[in-house]
Parts: sequence; C-alpha cells; structure tokens
Amino acid sequence: MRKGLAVCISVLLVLTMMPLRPAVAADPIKIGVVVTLTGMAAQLGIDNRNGILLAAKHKGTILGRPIQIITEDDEGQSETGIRKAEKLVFKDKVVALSGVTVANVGQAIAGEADRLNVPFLTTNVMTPKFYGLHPLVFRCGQVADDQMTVAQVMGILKDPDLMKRSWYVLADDYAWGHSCAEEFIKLATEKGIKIKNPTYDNAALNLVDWSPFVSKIISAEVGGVYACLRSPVAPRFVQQAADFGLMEKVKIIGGTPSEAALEAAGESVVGLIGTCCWTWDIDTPKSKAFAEAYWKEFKEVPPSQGAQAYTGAFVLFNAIEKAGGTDPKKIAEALKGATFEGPYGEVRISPKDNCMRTPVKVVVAERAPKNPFGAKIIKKVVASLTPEEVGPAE
Amino acid sequence: MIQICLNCLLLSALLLLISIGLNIIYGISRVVNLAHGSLYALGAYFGYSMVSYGVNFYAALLLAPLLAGLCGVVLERLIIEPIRHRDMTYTLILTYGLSVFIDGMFKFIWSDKVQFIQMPSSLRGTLNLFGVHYPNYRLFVLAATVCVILGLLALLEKTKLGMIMRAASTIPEMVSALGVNMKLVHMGVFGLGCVLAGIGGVIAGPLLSVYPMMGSEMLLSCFVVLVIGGLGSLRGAILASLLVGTAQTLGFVFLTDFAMVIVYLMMAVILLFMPKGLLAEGKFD
Repeated sequence: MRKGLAVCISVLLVLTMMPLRPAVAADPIKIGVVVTLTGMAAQLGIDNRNGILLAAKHKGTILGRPIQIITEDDEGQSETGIRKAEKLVFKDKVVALSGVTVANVGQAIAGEADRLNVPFLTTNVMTPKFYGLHPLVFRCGQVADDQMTVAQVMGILKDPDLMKRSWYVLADDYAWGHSCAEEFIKLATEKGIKIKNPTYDNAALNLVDWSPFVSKIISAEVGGVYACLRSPVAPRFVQQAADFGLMEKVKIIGGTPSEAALEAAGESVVGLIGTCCWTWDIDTPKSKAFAEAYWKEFKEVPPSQGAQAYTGAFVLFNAIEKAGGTDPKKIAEALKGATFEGPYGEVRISPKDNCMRTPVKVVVAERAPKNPFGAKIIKKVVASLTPEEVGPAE
Repeated sequence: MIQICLNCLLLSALLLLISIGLNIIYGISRVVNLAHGSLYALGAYFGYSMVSYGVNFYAALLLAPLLAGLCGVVLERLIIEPIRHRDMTYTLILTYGLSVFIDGMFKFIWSDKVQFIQMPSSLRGTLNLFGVHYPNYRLFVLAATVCVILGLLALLEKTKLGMIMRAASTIPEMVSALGVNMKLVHMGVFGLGCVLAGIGGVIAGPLLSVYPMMGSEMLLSCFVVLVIGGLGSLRGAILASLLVGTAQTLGFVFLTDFAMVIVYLMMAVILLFMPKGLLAEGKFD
C-alpha cells in the first residue's frame, strides 16, 4: 500500500516537474508588416500584404519556429506608420519590419530606425533616398524610381518607333512625381530622346477630369506621353485619353499600374507601356508556380506587387535563418549581399547600399489570351533588361 | 479651342450636377449636408453594381439615383429630422460623421479598389464637331446635365410642388400655417437632393472612376460652387459652376501649377466682397 502510494506520489511529482506546455510548438518568429490598406494606395497595400503572407506560408518555419505575420494599416500617413511600427516593435515584439506601400511612410519609419532597432526591409517604396540610408534599412522586391526610369528610357531606345517620337511629360504634383519626371527628362535628353516640355506639367493630386491635359497633348502634336502618375490614377488618365482617341495616335508610358487597376479600366488601357519586375506573362517554372499559388490562395489576378513582396519577404526570412537568431545586427549583416532565385529570376541586395539589383521587364498592356485567372488584360513582356543594364552601378 | 471650350462646359456640368442637390437641400431645408459627397458616391456604386450585374446603363442611370434618394429619405428621417431645430453645428458634425461612416461602408461592401462603370457601346467613340473629335460620352454628359437642370427648373417653376418648395425656402412658417406638412417637404427635398447626387455619381462613373473617397474629394469643389453662387441660389449655382469649371480648365491649360490657386482665390475674393454670391441671392440665417 505504502509502496503504491509512493509510486503514485513519484509519478505526480514527475508530472508536475515536466514543462507545462510540452506539446506546444516553439514561439513564433514575429514579422511586422506595415502596409496601406485605406485610400487610393490600398490595392497596392493589399497586393503587398498578400505576397508576404504567401511567402510566409511557403517558407513554413524559420529556425524550426513558425512564422507569424502581424499586419497593420498605415492609412498612407507617416504619423500613423510610425505609430504602427512602434506598436509592432515594442508591444508585439516583432524581429523585423517589412512591407510599406508609400514613400512618405517608408521614409518616416526609416527615420526611426535607430530607435526601433530592428531590420526594416521595404517591399514597395521606390524613392532613391533609400540607397545606403541606414545600416538597418533595406529595399527588396520593388525597383527604385531611378531603376524604373532607366528601364523606361532603355525601352524607348530599344524600339525604333518609340525612339523617333517626341515625348510630353506629365507628373503627379508631389515629390515622387517630380522626381520621376526630372529623372526621365534628364536621362532621355542625354540619350537623344526628344522632350516636348522639359519643364513638364504637374497634375493636382485630386484632379478628376484630365481633359485639359489631353487637349494640351493633342495640340502639342507629340508621339508619346510619359505619365508619372500613381498606380490607381494612371488608368483613369489613360481611359480619358482613350475616350479622345489619343491612344491611337500616341504611345503612353506610365509607371506600373497594378493588375487590379488595369482590370478595372478594361480595354481602354490596351497599349499602355510600363515597367515591372514580374508579370504573369513570364514563362518560367518559378513564375508559373507563384502565379498558380497566388491564384489558389487569394482568387485574384496575380499582381506584380504581390510577386515583389513575396520576393522581398523570402529574402528577409532567409536572412533571419542565416543569422541563426533574431539579433538585429546579425540579420542586417545576413541581408547584405543576400540573393534569392524567385518568380522573376535572381535578385540580390547590394552590400554597398542595401538596395536590390534585379532584372526588369518592359511591358505593354494587351488583351489577355485565355487564362486561368480570368484576366482581361495582360502586361505583355516586350523587353527584358538585366540587373547590370538597370543599375545603379556598384 | 473648341475642345477646350467643351472641356470647360463638361467640368462645369459635372460640378453643377453634383452641387445642385446640395444647394436645393440648403436652400429649402437649411441643412448643410456634409454627407452629400458620400451620397454621390453611393449613386455611383449602385450604378456600378447594376451595370456589373448586366443591367443596362440607361436603366442603371434611372434606378441607382432613385435608390440613393431612398437612402437619403431614410437618413433624413432617422438622423436629420430629430435635430433639425437645433443649432446648425449639430447637423454639420452629424452629417460629417455620416459621410465618414458611409465612406467606410463602401470599403466593406465594394472594397478599396478603383472601379469604372462600363459605358454603353453606343456612347463610345468620338464625334466630329467643326473638325474637332470630341468623345460621345462627354457630349452625353453635357446633354444629360441640360435635361436634368431644365427638368428641375420646370419642377420648381411650373408645378404646385415646386411652388410649395419655393415658398418653404422663404416663409416656412406661412407654408406650415396653410396646412402643408413641412416634415414631408423636408423629407422630399432631401430625397430629391440625393437623387440628383446619385445621377451625378452614375454619370461620372464611366468618366472619373468609382472609389470610396470620390465623394469627399468632390465635396470641396461643390462647396466652392455653392459659396461663389450663393448658398441656396439655383441660378447662382449654374453661373458659379460655369465660372469654376472654366477657371479650373483654363488654369490647367495655361497656368498648370496655379489652376487650383486661381479657383480658391476667386472664392476668397467673392466671399469677401459678395458674401451672398454672384447674384446676391444667397440665403443666410
């Protein structure tokens, strides 16, 4: 009896000394994702978030620990972005920040890099100010404005029909639009491309009727329009230009409108020229696999921004793995020079300036052939540029 | 030049279509409806959904504004009427809150995506006007605006209902004393204003696209028209729309960077020297 009681007590003691949660998996690696989910840039934010979520699903675990993505909406506002980043770092204890849709939020968060003290890798901010900005700040996924401009100018140079045209430049009236327009005019002029209005036109951000600019373009008798307009705005301009029959006479080079924006605008955007890292027109096994996985997960036309965020997130996950832990400095060290073979080929983070070098595609919006995504418009690849061609030089 | 003139008229027409409802509501009921832009967007979203589900564009142009008007009537009964006799600040705050709520609802129901109402194929293409090719749809917008304004003027000037509305705008106590149900008048006027906003929304949809903040963005321009034309003055609103539409269009053509500055400067000058609007018909209580 006593022996039996002693055994029972021993068993109970052993049980109480065992860890309380023996079956529970290791603590997750938390990644904070700040994206714009409200306002005009919301679609880009949704595409970015989805790309990161898909990357986390495909990666599965980091160092044997599950990945937990915590998403916050910055509403496109710098102050909100900082507040959300603080919440993610100090309350949720994320080990890195990623995403960020718009430049002002990206710059605001990067400005707090010392205080936040976690690696911040943006998958969408395009401003050249990110080159070598801070040892903890990186860009991977989206190209920078200067890289986009180089790709667009090279797209013109590679096409004799585009080269012989003179170009009218129109830009959104804010920092990003000005920077794009000025970069394009500078580079195009150097390469002998004719610019009709070197002082370019600024369009108010809340402009709804584009007809005054369309009339100016018609009367300027140009062969092309370079429109540095935000992704959701560009199709609206193109659609109104198409109403006037402008698309039959001139070629329009825009930024990189999202797939959703192109689908909404429909056939009127056919002929719009742009640049991007990825489009579901890229016919490689990894590209196809990404497109199919994205469609399966979100039931939306696989977007460029989604592929870019997917790529950036994978680079970050791999860097944490390589760092062997969550020490910010070690992750940052692992990100420098990191490479990843993804949906659009090999990308690499330059150790010189912490920003991505990547192949870029020059694309034209066309009527889509029959496809599994039900897309009406496809970004058809017309030219491929190598990372060395797009630069910047290291 | 013809094209620029038509562009001026087009923008004026759009501004008039959207601001006229706001003007009527203020003119007769003395309610500054800050949710008017959201009701314009609501009309656009109803139109978008109908056309997306295969309803004919012209049928959507008829039905969507009626639905927006119905929503307006419900809002007036539930929210505006209970605070009608309080200080105007209450309605300002309440209708602002309402606009934020409605804009938020758009995101839940239709998402944040930018959408376009597909224009009917019969209105695609351009028409040659004195050697200038001008889009058919824009000419349709001009014609539709003229029809709406003429219809509205006929309602106000030639019908008994219009007579009651005009009387209610100046001496509501007398109209009430004559046995007219003023609550019904206010409800009807609010509904009519929302129908007009809805028409503006559906007509603008294929041209300007449909997105949650479209109403809030347009509301500012509507208030510029209202201030310049004189709050509550129908003729003033027509004149002000023409002035603002022309100034803005010509501004973008000739003084790109200062286009909006010119419009707001014009408003400030008129507010300073002609506080009752261009025709001195503005109604202030």
